[in-house]
Amino acid sequence: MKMKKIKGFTLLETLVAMVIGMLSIAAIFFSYQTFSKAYDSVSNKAEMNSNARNALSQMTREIRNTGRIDPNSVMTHNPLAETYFLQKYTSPRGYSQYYSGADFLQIFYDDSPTTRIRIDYGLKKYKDNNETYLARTYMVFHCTEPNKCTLPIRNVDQIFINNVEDFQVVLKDKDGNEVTPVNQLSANIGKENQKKIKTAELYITTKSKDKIYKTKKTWKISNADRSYVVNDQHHRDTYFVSVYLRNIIK
Amino acid sequence: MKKNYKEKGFALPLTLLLLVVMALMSSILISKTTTEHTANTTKDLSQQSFYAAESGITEAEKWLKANVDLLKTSSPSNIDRDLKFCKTSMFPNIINGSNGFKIERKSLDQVITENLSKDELDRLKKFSYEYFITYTPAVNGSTNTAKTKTASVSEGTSITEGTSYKQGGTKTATYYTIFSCGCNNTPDNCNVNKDSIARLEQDITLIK
Repeated sequence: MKMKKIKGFTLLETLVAMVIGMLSIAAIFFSYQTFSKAYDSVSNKAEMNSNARNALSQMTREIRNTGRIDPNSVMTHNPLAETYFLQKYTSPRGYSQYYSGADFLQIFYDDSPTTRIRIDYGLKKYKDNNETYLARTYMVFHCTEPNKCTLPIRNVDQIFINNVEDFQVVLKDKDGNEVTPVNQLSANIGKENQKKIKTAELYITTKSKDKIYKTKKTWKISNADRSYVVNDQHHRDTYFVSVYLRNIIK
Repeated sequence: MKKNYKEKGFALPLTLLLLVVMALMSSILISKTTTEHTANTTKDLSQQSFYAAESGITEAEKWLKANVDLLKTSSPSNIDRDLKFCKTSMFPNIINGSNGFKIERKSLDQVITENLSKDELDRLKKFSYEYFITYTPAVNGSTNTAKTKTASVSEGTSITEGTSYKQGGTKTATYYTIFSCGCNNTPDNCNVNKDSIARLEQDITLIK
C-alpha cells in the first residue's frame, strides 16, 4: 500500500507543478529583462557622461591656450598678432557644412616656436540621419624657419562628441558682459573685441542615441541665447564649463 | 523514506539557480557603478589639481608684480634642488636643472582664507601647488639669458599676461615664464608617482 502512494503524480499534481514551474520561469525571464534594461540604461548614461566629460576637459585645455604666441616663434606670417586668434559665429557663414542653430568657434595658439595650432568646433549632421555631433577640426602649421613651412596636418570634422544637440559659446569681458561680435563679419570691431575677452562659457547638450523613456518627456533646453522645447523619449544632459583665457591681453 | 527524499522537488535547486543568476547580475551592475564612480573621482581630482596649478600661476603673477625691484638686480640661480614635485625635468621645453628666480610651495588653504567652513578648509588642505619662475626659455631650452621686447604700456611695474598684441612702444619688457604644478595632496606629501599632477606654463612680460 505504501508503494502505491508514492508510485506517481496525479494529473492535478502535474498541472499544479507545471503552473508553478511556468510562473517561476516567467519570473526569471522578466527579472532578467528588467535587469538587462537597467544595465543597458546605466551603462548607456555612464558612457555618454564619461565621453562628454573627457571631451569637455580636453576642450577646456585647448580653449585656455587661445591666443598664445610663443616668444621664440619662427613664423613670419603671424595671424595671432595681426588678425584673428578667436572667432565665434552664430550663423555659419563661410562654414556652411555646420548646423546653423548652434554656434561655431575657431581658435589659434602656438604650441612651440615652430608649430601653430588651429582648432574649430561646430555641430555637424551625420551622413545617414538628421542628428548632429560636435565636430572638431584640428590643424597644425609647422615651420622650421621663416618662410619654410610644410603643409599643415589636417584632421577635418572628426566626431568629437556624439549626439550633441546644441553647442553655444558666450564670450565675456572682465566685467562679465558679453563681447560680441567676435568674427571677420564685423571687420575691425571683431578684431578689437577679441582682445577684450576674459572667459569663454560653453554649453553642450547631448541627446541619447536610443529612446530611453517609456513615455514622452518635455525638455526645455535653454543654453545662452538659444532656447527650445522638445517632447520625446530621449534622455538629455547639458554640460556647462567656463574657461579662463589667460593668454589674451585685457 | 529514501524515495521520499528523492522526490522532494525542484524548489531548492530553482531557488539556488535564481539566487546565483540574480547575484551575478547585481554584481555586474554594482561593478559598473563602482567603475563609473572611480572614474568620476579620478576626473574630479585631476580637475582640482588643474585648478591648484592655476592658483599657482596667479600667485606667481602677484609675486612678480610685487618684486620688480628685486628682479632688477637678481640673476637666475639653481632652483631645481629645492623643488619637490614640480621639477624642471617635468617640462620638455627647458633644460633639466635650469636656473630660475623664485619657487613657492603651498596648500590651497594657505591661499584661500576668507569665509571658509571647516569642511572646505580640510578639503583645500589636500590640494597644493608648487611654482618656479625663470626667464622664458630659448629654443634650445636655456633659461640663463633674458629675452626682451619693446612695449607700449606706460606704468613702470605693469604686468601683462601672455604676449602683447600691441606692437611698438618706448618701454622694455622682459619675458618670464611661470611653471606651475598642482597636486591632489599636501605640499610635503605629494608623490609624483601616486598623485594626480597637473602642469601648466605661463609666459609673462614684465616692465622693469
